[in-house]
Amino acid sequence: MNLSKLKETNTYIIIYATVMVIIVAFLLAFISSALKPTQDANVLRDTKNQILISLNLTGLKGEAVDRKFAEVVTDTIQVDDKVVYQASVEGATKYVLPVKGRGLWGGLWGYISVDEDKQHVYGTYFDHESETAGLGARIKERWFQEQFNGKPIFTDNPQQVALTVVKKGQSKAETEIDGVTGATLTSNGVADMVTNGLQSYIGFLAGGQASGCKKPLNERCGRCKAGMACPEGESCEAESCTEVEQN
Amino acid sequence: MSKLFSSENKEVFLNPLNANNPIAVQVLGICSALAVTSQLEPAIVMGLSVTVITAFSNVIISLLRNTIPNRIRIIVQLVVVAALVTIVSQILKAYVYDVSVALSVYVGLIITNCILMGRLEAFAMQNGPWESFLDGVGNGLGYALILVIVGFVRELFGFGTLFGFQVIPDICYEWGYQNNGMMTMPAMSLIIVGCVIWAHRSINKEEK
Repeated sequence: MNLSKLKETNTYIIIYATVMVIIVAFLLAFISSALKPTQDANVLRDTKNQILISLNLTGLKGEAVDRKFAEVVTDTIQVDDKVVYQASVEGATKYVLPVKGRGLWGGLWGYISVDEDKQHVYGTYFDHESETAGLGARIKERWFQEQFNGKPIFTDNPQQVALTVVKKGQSKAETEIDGVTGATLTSNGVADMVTNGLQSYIGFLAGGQASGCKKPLNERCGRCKAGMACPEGESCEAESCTEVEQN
Repeated sequence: MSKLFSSENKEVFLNPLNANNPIAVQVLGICSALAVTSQLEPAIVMGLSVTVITAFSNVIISLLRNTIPNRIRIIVQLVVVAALVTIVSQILKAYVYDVSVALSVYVGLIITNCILMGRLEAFAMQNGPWESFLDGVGNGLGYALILVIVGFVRELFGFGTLFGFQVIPDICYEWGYQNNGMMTMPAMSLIIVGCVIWAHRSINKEEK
């Protein structure tokens, strides 16, 4: 039997397909495992770069990212199950808080850096998996992220994050940031991510801090520290607000 | 096609660059051409990726062409293309991470690029490895050429830069020049591709 006849038989087709798939599978597995370390290093460097951008250190590439990150980020702080990066930019201490959220088509994530007093935003970085190009994808552009710079996180209530995103042109308060025109759902996703994301760090942002009329942490009783009602005859509130705020 | 002369090989290579350009004449592979051309760098990397994949899948299919069972030939072609695309995508992720982020899903979508399947079916299944290689490189470069033209126009007018470097001097912006935001949108690349096809056809008409 010659090849042209043989190759149309079912046995030949099945063997041909099987052998082909096995060869391809081994080839791909080999290449994937060979390149994995380099790819992981790239992903790590990209994460570092995103953190640096949230600290308004943009335009870094390659090795420069690693060097700058090592120079700027001084420590990491464990907050519940999350990690906060402590950084020192031009002598001032900043904290970088990672946040996650959901956009219209897929995940959103970002880094929000706050000043040492934990009351104002220093810088932000947002990114997305698959938002619409030209609309939702614009949350990745600097003009959108820079709107947050210097904005207060809280208004009156130091336990409730007020910073959010609203429809373009409707921002009234200092804590309301303009969204992206034509990308309402993505903007809502960013609003949720920022507000709820920061809210989940409330213990870090407000705790141990002379916020409002609460006593400094070291003066509070054990029950107050745990966030429960205080025992009879004692108070978690400070004697006078002005006294605490001066601290 | 029993005996192949170098002039014919030259024809195989040069034809898809101009007279039979896959985008301008056959209007294939438009989808990715629209999506990745907002800047020059991803456009060039995409063009080169398609060139490499077309050339090597052409060679592999051409080598195998006498052993491939007719009934599963499309599947065999797809497996070869998919394997090459995955390899290229992994290499991009490892060595040019920024560009691979910019190209996002479009590297994976090379699998469905009509140029590839078209060349495999129409050329590699009937011709030897060397001619198939030239045909693949020719078609890939023909595709890359249009991508670079579109990418050049879009980056220059959309961002005022080329390869990320500013080329439009600051003084123009001071005099009121503005980057054209439309250029950064995919719709504009459709219009530019249309203009390229228009120019290409009117030039070729004169030659006839």
